Amino acid sequence: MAEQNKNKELKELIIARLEVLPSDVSISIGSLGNFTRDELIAHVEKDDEVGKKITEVELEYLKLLKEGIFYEKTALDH
Amino acid sequence: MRKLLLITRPQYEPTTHYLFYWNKKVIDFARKKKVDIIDLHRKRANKKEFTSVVVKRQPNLILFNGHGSSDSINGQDDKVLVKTGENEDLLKDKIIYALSCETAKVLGPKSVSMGTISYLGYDEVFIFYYSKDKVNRPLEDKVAELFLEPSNQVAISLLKGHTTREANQRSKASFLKNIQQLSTTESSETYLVRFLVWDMVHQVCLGDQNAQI
Repeated sequence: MAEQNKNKELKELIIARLEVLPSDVSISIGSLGNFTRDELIAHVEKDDEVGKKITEVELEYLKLLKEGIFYEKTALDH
Repeated sequence: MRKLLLITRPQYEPTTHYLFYWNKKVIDFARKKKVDIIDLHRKRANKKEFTSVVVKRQPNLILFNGHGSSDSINGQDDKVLVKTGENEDLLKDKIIYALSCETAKVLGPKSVSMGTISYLGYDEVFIFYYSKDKVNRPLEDKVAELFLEPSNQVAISLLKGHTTREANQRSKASFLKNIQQLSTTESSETYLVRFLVWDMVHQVCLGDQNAQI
């Protein structure tokens, strides 16, 4: 139950972060395809391969923010 | 002896369409540097022609643009050009930059173990944004530029004579410059930062770090 709640909260967080994307741009995610904001959100809701990848991108970014990725040394060492 | 650059530029859907145009900048730069160029564009980006050119001409530098996976790089219409376990030996004694998803996971390390001098690429999917209203004029797309100009810095740095390590670092520095600019201004495009960070940290340089073309 706790795990289910955690996943639901995570999904809500990712969707909230995607909702700020503009609607007049598209994202190319390599072989996975090209998507609009609304399509990305739908994939996260479905929790499919594209949804999982975009979740990974968002979570990695939050982790790297904590590590100080905006600083040159940290960034170039990665 | 003149240096030889081989570049693959398939063009058949939005992603390859953008890479096709943005790599014209690399070709123009190579011309200025008096580097010989073999441009396998559109239908010429096929396995038969690629293999023939590599075997006969032995380019110093190969730039791949197109879709890929952890163990293969594709050409026109998503058809395989190089695949782990099949023909990665074609990359022997060459410097490679693959603007292609995930190829630095398996194909890169395997090719280096079989004699590729240095393999620059991505160990994850390469992500970029583009403006829907610029698809017919990709080189005017300022959103795509934030991603594709730093990527071009790998090839441009190599063509300038920098080492593979330096080319990787200069490209990452270019990503970082864009990240910092978007983060520190009141840009409406700060949403792009997370994706620029992703590309920057997943760009890797395998093999000899001091190699030059």
